Amino acid sequence: MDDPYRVEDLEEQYGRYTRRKVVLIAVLAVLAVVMIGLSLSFNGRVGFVDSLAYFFKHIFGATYDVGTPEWVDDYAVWTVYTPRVLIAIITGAGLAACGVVMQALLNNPLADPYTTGLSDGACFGAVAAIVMGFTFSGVAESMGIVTNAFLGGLVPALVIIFLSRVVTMSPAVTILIGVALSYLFSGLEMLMMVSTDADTLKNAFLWQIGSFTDTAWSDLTIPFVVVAVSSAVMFAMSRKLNLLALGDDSASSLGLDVDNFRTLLMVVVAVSVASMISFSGIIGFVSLVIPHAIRMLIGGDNRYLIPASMAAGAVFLMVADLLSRVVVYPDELRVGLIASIIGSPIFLYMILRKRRYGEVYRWRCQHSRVCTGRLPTGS
Amino acid sequence: MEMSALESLYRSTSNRKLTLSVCILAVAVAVAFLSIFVNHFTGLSFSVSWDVLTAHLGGHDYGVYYYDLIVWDYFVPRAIMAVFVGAGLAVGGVVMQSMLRNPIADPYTTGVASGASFGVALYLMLGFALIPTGNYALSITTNAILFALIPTAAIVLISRRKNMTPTTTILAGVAVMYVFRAGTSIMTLSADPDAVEQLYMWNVGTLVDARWDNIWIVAGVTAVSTAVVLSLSRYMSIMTAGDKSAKSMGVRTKVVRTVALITVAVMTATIVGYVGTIGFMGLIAPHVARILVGSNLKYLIPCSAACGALILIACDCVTKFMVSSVPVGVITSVIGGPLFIILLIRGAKKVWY
Repeated sequence: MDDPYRVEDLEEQYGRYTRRKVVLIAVLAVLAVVMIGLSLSFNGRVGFVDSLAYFFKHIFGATYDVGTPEWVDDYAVWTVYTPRVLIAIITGAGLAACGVVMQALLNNPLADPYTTGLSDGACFGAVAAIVMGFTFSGVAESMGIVTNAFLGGLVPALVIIFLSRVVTMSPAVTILIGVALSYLFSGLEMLMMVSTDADTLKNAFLWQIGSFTDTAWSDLTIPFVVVAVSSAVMFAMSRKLNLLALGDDSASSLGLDVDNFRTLLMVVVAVSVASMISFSGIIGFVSLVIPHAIRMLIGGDNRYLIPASMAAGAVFLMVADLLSRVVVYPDELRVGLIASIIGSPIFLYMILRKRRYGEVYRWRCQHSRVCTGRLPTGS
Repeated sequence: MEMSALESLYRSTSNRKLTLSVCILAVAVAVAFLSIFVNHFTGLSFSVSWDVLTAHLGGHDYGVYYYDLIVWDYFVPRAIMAVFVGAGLAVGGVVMQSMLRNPIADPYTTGVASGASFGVALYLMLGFALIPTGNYALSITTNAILFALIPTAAIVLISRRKNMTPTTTILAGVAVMYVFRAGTSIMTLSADPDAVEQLYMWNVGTLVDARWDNIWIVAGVTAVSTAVVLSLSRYMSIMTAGDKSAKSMGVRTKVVRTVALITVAVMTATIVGYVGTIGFMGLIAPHVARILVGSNLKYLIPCSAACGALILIACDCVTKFMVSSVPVGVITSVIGGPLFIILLIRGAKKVWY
């Protein structure tokens, strides 16, 4: 034990280092599956076992005569609640992954996908549809809101990406431009809001607190495909993301094309988040806080942080969605609300317990010797 | 007295920076004076406004009641309010950005705005006033100020017990902000649309409620707070190099940070209580100032204050030109946003990092 660098010791240390993270990811994944079952069974009609039975029977092609009690139960489980649970999973996982990536890309704990003005752009688009009836695509009603929110959300992100190609920007300047853009869009949005009547204003205001109510199967396709692809890309890039925590200069000296890398991932995040929030409205908190919470548990290594955050985000939003249906049953609260209410105290508690979190953020872990030994091979 | 070349160089740059700040402040005051004459009312021409001013400075009222009311009782306090609010928010922003070492921190980062908004929502939607005065405007103001202080108080209490880094302070602020925001949203769900509209308008922020009897509170608190943070500026400048370095140079980082945070919170809460949450000022003005005079807080604080005053009064002039009443918070965002981006792209590469 005289030599602290003995290979066996290092291997054992590294084994411990990874085991803990893998265990956490596994636990979260199991929790997610349990939550799916629980969420489906709170449907106001049938219990836990029956709900799962209906769910699986439907998958295996069971059909019922229209109007029978079984048909109604099946309808509740399969058509009303299953898409809702799935969108909670997709959105939770997607937003959390995007949050991790943005915090790493911009090297700032306050960053989340909305930092680049995405949410305000989307709000602007949605409010334009709600207040003025204006839609980019010419589609009316709810699809108009969705497409407007999607396109509006992409505008600020694309502006930033375009600017970052034209001039070289440090992460700090990128983030400041993002904040400026979000103020610009929220200003334009306010301009519409202050000139409208009280009822429309309330509608528009409520859109901004996300909700999963009335999610249909057809709404799932786009978010699912986009989130699946984008998460795969992010996970594949996680080793390179680790390099960015060393600072742009060190990262590029280790062979990373920092500018292109940042642009690529920002495009991925923008499209992914825009496709999620255009259906559900702005769901805050998950993308900012879940990555921090997980980082406190397992450190800042993005290879583990991304999957763990995705699982945690999915579980968290499912819990929030379930509570939003249960608390004031048979009424519903908005899931974005519940997410903040249950999430913030937990988060506050975690901050208080973890003493020197600032250093975890700068990509360090308990066995820093092992980690830094692994880092340069990241790409 | 003999001066080395280095010393004289320092003197000259130092003088240049101070002169620049004074010049900007002078321009701000000039624009504030001109803003009194800006309006979109027919009949209220430049010369009428001038007559009203001279009449009051001479100690008597102007003959036409409405003109007198608008110019002397509305526009003059509004101009003074704009100068102090702009300066105060900018100083708050610069202190927060330095103390939290984060370029996107602003006076609201520790949750002041969400707390205030919660307090206002409590009154508008549930009729609850912390200090029951029965007066609409006064209840809103007191609710806003008192609730605005809760998040900061929580953060300060937390950081007394634990060793807080800037990152954890920010995150605690974010967490508290979400709690209050969720509380506000719950009330909004079941609230009367008119109350929601009032809350929304309050959130946007406007200077039209400035009167002679409330500007002195804002002006006084802003002036005192600015003096306090200015007296701490030398320690805060050292602290931007990191807490460890600052401690090794004998700065009591914890005390300085706590005092600075509390001072900014009190100032911001007071401002927010009277004019609502005017966004973006606290972020943009410090960055503009940073581009002009660099990061030494001794110069940065006065220069930010001057820039903030100038920007806000200029934006307020724009709102007064408009026929339909647009709150100044909208103008600061819509005009300030693009300008800020241009500025950042052109000049800020070396300023942050």
